[in-house]
Amino acid sequence: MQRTIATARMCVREQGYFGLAELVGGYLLRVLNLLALLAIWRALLAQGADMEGLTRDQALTYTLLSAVLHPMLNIATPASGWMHDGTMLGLYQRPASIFGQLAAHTVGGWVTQLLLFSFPVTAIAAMAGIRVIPASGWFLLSLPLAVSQGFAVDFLFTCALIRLKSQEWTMHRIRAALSALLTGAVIPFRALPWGLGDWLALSPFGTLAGAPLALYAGLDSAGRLLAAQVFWNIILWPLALVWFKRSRERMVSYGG
Amino acid sequence: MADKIRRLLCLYKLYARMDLQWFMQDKFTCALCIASDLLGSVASISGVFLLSQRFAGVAGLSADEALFFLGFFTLADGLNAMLFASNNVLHISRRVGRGQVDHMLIQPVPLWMQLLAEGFMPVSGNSGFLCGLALTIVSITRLGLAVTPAWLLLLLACLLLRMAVVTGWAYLAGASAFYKPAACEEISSLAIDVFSGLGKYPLSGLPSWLAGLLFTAVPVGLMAWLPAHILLGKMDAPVTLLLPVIIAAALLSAATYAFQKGLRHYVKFGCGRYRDLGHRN
Repeated sequence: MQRTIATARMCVREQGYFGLAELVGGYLLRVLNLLALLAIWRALLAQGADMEGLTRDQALTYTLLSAVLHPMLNIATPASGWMHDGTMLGLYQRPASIFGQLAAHTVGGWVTQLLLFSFPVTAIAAMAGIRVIPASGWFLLSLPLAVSQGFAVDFLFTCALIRLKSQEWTMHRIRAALSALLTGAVIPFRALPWGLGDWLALSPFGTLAGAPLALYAGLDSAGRLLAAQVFWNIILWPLALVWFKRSRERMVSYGG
Repeated sequence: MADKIRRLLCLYKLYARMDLQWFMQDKFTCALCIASDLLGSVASISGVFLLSQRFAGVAGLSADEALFFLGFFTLADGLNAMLFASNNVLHISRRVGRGQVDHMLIQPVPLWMQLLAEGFMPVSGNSGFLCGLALTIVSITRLGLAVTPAWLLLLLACLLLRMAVVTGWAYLAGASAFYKPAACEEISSLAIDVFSGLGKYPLSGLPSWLAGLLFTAVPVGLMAWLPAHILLGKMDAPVTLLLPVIIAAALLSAATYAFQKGLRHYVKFGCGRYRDLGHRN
């Protein structure tokens, strides 16, 4: 445990390597992004759009939480970047598991985000009248399940990257596109047209962000969402472990 | 001047040929790269598109008008990528911050000409442009817009002004990498991300202070919202077009000044980011 905490602590320090401008600039961008999305929802609801039961409060809470919990709902370990620049090889020289080191590094990265972005933004949003209390206590179970599933999905993408000979940018684009389209991080599934939301809500991508956010905002019942999350965890983790074991011999790194 | 233009066209031809050669030599990798860019372009506008379909419009635009707005955004973003994305020409702080301007200063071609030509990738980088073109054509057909030579000129002007704003913005931010190479290596990317992240959102209904900010100091509204309104005839073209003209001119002037000043600093102090074995500090 001490090793994990030490790794996480190193990652917190690393967040500031490129200076305050880079750090604060990224968070300011997120604030602007959040404000634009909140304004869209307000405009849509003001024009009297039929949301099939999705209330203004729920839409705003969903959008706020999606931004505030972004790193936990879209798990991105440094594996792909480290494979590209060669850092990954160094992990094999340490007396700890590869998955454990990557997970510790990722969790360490959340600290800065929580302190500089999530807590202040949530406090300001609460003062502005946006509901920040979860509508369902099941959210507290759904979030760790989503995080666990997120790590499994990330390791599967890492394996795919190994098979594609470390084409980091290509994989990054594919992954970002799939996340934007399918995870429900941007738009609640209930607001999607053509019944798409019904299909996506229980899918392996849809349960990553859509499930905890829907429970937090009170948009869906806990039973089927939690069952789907448990199911995907059981399926995806063994798949990730086996595929990684088979893929690691093919790992290629450029360095530099 | 004619010589310089001829030289520039030769360079464009050269970079186009190199890009095509990549495709010919490694079709799978190149096709995968093109497909991922295409998927990224579609995904980036999917949120607003799906909302507009679900609610028969969004923020004062009908569903077809919203499609035109998104089409213009994708077309302009794709054009920028096709002309300037290769070799980090648009993400200039990476080259400055990595000390790679040295490589450019020893070339027998002026710096401005290299920067204009090096980013060109008409084969591997055309997916966003083609996707945007298709979306724009579909939306024009559905809206029944009258496409006259004057309207096409207006479209071209909007595209060029948008390109000038983005380039000026990226270079103005990127000039800081001359002074803080490691800290500011990614600053151009961050600056561009502001536009690509927010430019695709309809900006009506914002509080006036935020709208004022997003149409002037951080001109996100000039990425697609204002041009789409002008092209759809919802705003008076000659008057409204003045805003992007002024902002583009101001940004390009400021960027040129900052970049030249930074370059003088670079020539004097250099940038030693690389170790002997080739890795960066």
